[in-house]
Amino acid sequence: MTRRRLTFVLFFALIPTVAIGGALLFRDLHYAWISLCVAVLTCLPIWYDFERRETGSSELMVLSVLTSLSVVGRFLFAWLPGFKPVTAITVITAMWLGAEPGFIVGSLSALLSNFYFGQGPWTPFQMFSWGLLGGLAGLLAKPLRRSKIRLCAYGVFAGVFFSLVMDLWSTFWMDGEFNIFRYSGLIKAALPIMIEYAVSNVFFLLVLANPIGEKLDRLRAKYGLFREPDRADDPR
Amino acid sequence: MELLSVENVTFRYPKASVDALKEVSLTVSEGQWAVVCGLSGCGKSTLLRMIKREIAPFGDFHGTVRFDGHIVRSEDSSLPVLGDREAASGIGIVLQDPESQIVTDTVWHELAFGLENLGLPSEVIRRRVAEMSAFFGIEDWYHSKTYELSGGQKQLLNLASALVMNPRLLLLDEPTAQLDPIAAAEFRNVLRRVCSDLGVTILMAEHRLEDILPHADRIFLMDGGRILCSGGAAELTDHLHMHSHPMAEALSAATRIYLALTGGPAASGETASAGDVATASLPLTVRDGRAMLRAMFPKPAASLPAAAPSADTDATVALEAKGLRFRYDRTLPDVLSEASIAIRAGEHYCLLGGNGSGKTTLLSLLAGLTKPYAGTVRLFDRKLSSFAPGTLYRGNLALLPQQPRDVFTETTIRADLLKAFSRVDQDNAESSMLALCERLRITGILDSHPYDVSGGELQKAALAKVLASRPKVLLLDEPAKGIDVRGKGELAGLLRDLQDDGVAVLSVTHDAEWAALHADRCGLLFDGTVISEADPKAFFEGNAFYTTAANRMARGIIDGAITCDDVVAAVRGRVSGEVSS
Amino acid sequence: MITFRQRHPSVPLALLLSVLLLTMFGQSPMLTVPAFAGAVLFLTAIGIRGLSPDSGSTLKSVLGYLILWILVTVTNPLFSTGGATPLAFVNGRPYTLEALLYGAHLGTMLIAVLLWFRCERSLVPEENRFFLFGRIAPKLALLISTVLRFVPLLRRRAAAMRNAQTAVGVYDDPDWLNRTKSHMTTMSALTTWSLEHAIDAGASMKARGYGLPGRTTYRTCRFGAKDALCMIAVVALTAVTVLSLARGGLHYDWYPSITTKRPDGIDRAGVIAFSILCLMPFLSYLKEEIRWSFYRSKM
Repeated sequence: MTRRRLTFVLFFALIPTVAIGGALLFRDLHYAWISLCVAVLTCLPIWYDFERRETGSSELMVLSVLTSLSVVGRFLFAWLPGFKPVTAITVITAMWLGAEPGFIVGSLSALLSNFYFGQGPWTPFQMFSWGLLGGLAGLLAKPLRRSKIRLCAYGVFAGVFFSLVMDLWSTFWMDGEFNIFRYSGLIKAALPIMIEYAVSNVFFLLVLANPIGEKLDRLRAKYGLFREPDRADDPR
Repeated sequence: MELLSVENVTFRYPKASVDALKEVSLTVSEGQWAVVCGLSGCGKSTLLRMIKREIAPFGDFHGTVRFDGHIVRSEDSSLPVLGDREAASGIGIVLQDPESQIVTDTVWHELAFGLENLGLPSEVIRRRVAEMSAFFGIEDWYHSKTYELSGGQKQLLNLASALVMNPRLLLLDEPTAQLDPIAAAEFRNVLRRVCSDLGVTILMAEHRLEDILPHADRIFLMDGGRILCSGGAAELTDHLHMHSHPMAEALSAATRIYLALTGGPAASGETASAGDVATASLPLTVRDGRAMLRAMFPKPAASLPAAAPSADTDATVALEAKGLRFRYDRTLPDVLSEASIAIRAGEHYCLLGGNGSGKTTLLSLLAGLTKPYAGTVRLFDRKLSSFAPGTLYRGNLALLPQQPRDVFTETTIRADLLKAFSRVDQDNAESSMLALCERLRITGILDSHPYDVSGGELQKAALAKVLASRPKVLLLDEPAKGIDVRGKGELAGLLRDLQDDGVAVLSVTHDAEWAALHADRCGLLFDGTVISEADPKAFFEGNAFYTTAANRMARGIIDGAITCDDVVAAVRGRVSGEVSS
Repeated sequence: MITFRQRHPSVPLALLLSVLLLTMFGQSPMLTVPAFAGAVLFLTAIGIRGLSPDSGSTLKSVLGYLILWILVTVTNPLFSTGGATPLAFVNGRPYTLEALLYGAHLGTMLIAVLLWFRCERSLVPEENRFFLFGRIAPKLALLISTVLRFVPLLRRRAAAMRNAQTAVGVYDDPDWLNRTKSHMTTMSALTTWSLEHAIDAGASMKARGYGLPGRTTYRTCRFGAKDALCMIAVVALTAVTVLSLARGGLHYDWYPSITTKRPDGIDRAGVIAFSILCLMPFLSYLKEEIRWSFYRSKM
């Protein structure tokens, strides 16, 4: 136990060292390097917290299933490129189960689905984006659950955010600085995909939110899962 | 020595109006193989879960469960309690569904999983996993992915994963219900070794008595949450027969024939119809049964009069497939090669075949879900491909899949069925739905979630959904799998009614008894083609191995006897001189 | 066969991480070219022997990479106008030779990185992929292990459900709207099925003692002397490369005109070290091939 904690401390000491050292070493690309470190650094404390916390076996399996569903969703809709339910399932998980489960499902979906769809330098940024979108949705759970319009707005925001993060990193990586021409060029080129992300997010959120939410509520009632004191005053 | 004792356990699920268990008491001694039998819903699964407290359902519990003298569960919290570690490793459990108990992605990790939880060091885990793999013959697929295994392998893995923790008591909840007969027999053989070679005590819930009675040391019959009787095979048989309990139908063919001829163990000795039967002890297996029949029919074989040729040979052909060829990938061998089959209106065709013989594939080709690379399927002399989109599965053809859950998409059965019925007839949806549910006797479960009802009920509800479109051809994949004897009888009755309305029924099954009792014609799918098509009598008489237990018993003694009733009729007939000897 | 597969997973992972990061951020053609060559050699070698998990789609992916390379090369001058040698003017902005060359470098780097990600599948056996993870983060590793089981399972389930629902007439027309709708229905039914399944699996975990204090992780890999040797080699080669990078020896200035420092001994050592690093998977494969053919000839 203490050994594991020590490993973690080492890890956390190592990461900033690597970040700063790398930025010095890779002078030309220090924006890209630092943004990569930020993406990874965001995931670590949340994963660490999840690792430390007690999670019941059924809760763990529910998270596993939700992650798997978002991966399988990518397969089911693979014939429509860019049209994928990962964001929606992450957001729904966060809305019903909280920010941390949302982050975990989002970041793991990115990591694991790329084992089937291809890993690349984009993987850490997908983990970061989907994780963060999940975490944020967890914090906004109540307003999002109350209004469909807000939910749609969040879907659009998520699509745009996701696309902008990817393009920003590509710019940093390719030019070593914020090149506005490249950035706008990339955004223009990726505009159809960005729109598709936003549309598919809204679509999946509208269609899946209630069915999955109902099912999670059903499990919560039937088996007493995910009972946290701060969720006792649910509006639903 | 008593290893397990259950004392006056009463249990009620939350919001339920009746107790699931009522004052249940039983004891199992170390090294015994005990069986709890009863129809679905009798409380046998609930009882097992009371003993494995980690997975015990919520509810109102009274009584005491002791394991090796320690309290597993009790309402009296002052008593010394079995530790969590001892409870997890001392009592292992294997449940019905092979799939849902597997946790990890590789076989080796699955075997190690429980030992990791116990916190054992790697060296100990390595040794125990190695031993268990050797005992089960798992070495060949030790590095496989768990999702690549067959159902039988999955269930063996579940058993091994429980045994690797060195339990003293093994709980099994209908472990072979989802397996095909060959895999089920293999599983039982392994269990016998577990019991006799490893000395593990077994408590098993089962509704298929036929295969399990020869192994059991002690049997408990449950009904309505109570234990009705306990004892050996003879006591159980006696009780079932005396009280005409529906479970009597689940006894082995040998026992049922014996009961029919003698009127039960209690009445034996004064039987009029066949005095020589009484001398035999209670026959349980085919071997016992053959000895019993041989004693009655020394040397020359008797034969039953040939059956009248089945009625409608000239009925219209409803569904016909010619020369079907199919493979999953260009590089793989054919699953089906030149498979041809024809089903006539109003008949029930049973297609038998071993595991992996392509039965389910053929069904999906016949239903037009997958396309063959050669050959055609015609429905009432029209190619399946010529049906306009949306017309084939409306009023023409329907398929009931092996997992009845798959057809449901809504949160209540009522909503689901209503949706299906209103697709066909918007105005009278509700009334026609209710009428069908009435006939199937499932009106009571309409407001339940499809996942909250028993297997038999779900099967009937799925059938209702399939029938909503009023198909003229009904395809059924393993309709009798996992259903108890009473459920099978009801299903058969419903199919008979449909046939009378002219519906053609094709069921693919492993279950020879089901085919012998309910089919009009049978066929065997082997090596990608349908062979030896005939009416059940001729079909099973021609098979030596793939046939009913009654036929195996009577082979060479009474020719042409396929079902228990045939054998009984032959014996009675001999007494009155009708059978040619 | 591929000796790296027999090493402790930390070795190929360290190699991958080192090559990927140095290629991605070293920003030098002296690193990009060896990385590209190493990946191509390794992938070709295992592709020829049919050992690559995705050797089927070779032609298509080569074509894809070529298009990507041309695209990046040709479009780069549109975004970066630095450079002293204008070749043409587009929208009043210069299209320069230096930017074109930088684009070619960028394209090569991009493809080298993608190829090294592809090598990962053959370098680290699937069952060891999360092994290191399992030691520091056992719960996440268990979660990942269960997801890797669920994904194929749920895909099969989804297909079965679609078929089941089709054959009872739930889906009617094959147009795209209905197709999407039918996939949504499948997705919803799949959710119910899998959440219910999760509860059963959770019970099975609990029945086997999950949640007891002091859980251990079963280790199937040991870090032996050979692994240590390999690891030292990887670390040393990386260190030499990093040293020459830090001294600025491999640095290229692209704009306004391409200039680089005259390489000294340490810079050359850095390039050689990185080249060896990139060739390690290929060389170890080659060594194994040769050893096998000797072994077979003696049989």
